[in-house]
Amino acid sequence: MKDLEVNEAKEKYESIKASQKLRKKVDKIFEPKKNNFKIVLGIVATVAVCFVVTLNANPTFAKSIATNDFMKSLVSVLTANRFEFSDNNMEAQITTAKITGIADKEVEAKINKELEDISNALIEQFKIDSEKLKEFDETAHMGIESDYIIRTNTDDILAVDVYVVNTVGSSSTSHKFYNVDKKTGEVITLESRFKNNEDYLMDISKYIEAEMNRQTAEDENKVYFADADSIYNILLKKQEFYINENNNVVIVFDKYEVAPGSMGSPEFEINL
Amino acid sequence: MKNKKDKFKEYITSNIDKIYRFAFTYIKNEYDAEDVVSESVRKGLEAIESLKNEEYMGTWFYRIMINTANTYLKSKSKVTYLDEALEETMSSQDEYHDVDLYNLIMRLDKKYRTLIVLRFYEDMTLEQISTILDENINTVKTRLYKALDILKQNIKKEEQVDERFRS
Repeated sequence: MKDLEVNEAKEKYESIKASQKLRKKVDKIFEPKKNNFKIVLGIVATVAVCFVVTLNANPTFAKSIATNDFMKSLVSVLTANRFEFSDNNMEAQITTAKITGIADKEVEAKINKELEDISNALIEQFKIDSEKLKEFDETAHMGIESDYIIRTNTDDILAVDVYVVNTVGSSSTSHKFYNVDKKTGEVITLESRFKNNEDYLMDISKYIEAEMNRQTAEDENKVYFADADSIYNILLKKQEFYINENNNVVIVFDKYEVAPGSMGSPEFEINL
Repeated sequence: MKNKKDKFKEYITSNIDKIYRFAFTYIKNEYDAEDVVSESVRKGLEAIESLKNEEYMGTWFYRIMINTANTYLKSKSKVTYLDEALEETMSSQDEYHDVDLYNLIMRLDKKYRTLIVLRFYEDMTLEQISTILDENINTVKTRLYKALDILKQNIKKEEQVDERFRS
C-alpha cells in the first residue's frame, strides 16, 4: 500500500462531516429546556396534553412589521403550536406551522387546517404507539419530530417544508411542501409551473431518471433504485416539490422512496 | 470558572465533526449515526457531573458513544427492514469496484475497524483505546495487530483481483 493511498484514506475519513441538522439537534440538547413538560405515561398522559401556543413570528414576518414596509408581501409562515413530550426513551417534538397572507382565504384555511390535522394525527399516533411499544419492550426508543423549514424566501416565493422524522430503531423522514407566490398570494402547483407541457409528469420522471444515472456514474457511493416509470407512479400520487432561489422546481422524495435509507431524502432540481 | 456543563458543551460543539465521523464509522449509516450522536450527547449531559477528571472528557464521551451505539445496534437487529436487505445485495454487487484503502477499512469487522480508526485516524494511544473499549491493554494490542494483519491480507487479495482484471 503506497503512502499516497494511506493519505487518501485519511482524507476520505476526514471528509466525513456532521450535517447542519445534527449540529442544530445537538445545540438544542444544550438549550435550557423551556417548553419541556415531563409527563409520566399513564392516566395523566391521556388527559394532560400540553399545548404551548407561542405564535412567535418568524424573522421575515417580524422584519416586515418592524420596517413598516407595506409594499412587501404579507405571505409568511409562523409557529402556531408546539407540542413537546419527553419520558425516558419516548420523545416527541411537534411544531405546527401556520401560513398567512394567501390571497384565497378558503385555500389558506384549508392549508392551515391540514397542518393542524397533520400535527394532531402525529400526536395521537405517538400516544398510541409509545404505550404499545412500552408494553412490548421497556427499553425501546421511540421519537417523533415534526417541524417546518423555510426553504426559499425571496421577493417572489415562500417555500415551506413541513417534515416528519419518525424514529423507531431506524428513522424515516417524510416531507410536505407549500409554495406560495408572494406577489399574488397564490399557492403554486406543479401543474401551474408546466402549463404548456401536457406530458410534464413523464418528462420530469425521465429527467430525474437521467439525473440519477448521471449521479451514480459519477459517484459510486450513490445508489438509486427507481426508474422513470416508478418515479412517474409516485408523482401521479403526490408531488412534493419546492421552488428554489433560482426559481426552479426541486422535486423531493421521502427517505426510502427512491433510494436506500443512507441516501436520505433525495432532491432533484428540474431544468426542463 | 466554567462549570462542567459548559466545558462539555464546548467539547461537543468544537469536536462535532470528529464525533460524528467516529459514530458513522462505527455504525455505517448516516441517520443512525446522527441518532447515536445526539443520544450520546444527551446521556453525557445527564452524567457530566459524575466525571471526576475533566482531562478525560474525550475518552469518557467516546465510551458513552460506543455503549449507546451497541445498544442501538442491538435494538435495531430486532427489526430488519426490507430496504436494508436490498442495500446489502446492492453493496455486494460492487464488491470488486471500490478497492481503495478506506473502503477496505470500512469493510473490516466492527471490532477491528474501530481499533484502526481510533489508533490511526484519531491518533489515540493504546491506553486511551483500552479505556474507551473497556478492554485490557494487551487485548487491545493483540487485536490491533490482528486487524492490521487482516487488512494487509485483504489489500493483497484486492491487488491480485485487480491484476487479474488488467491482464
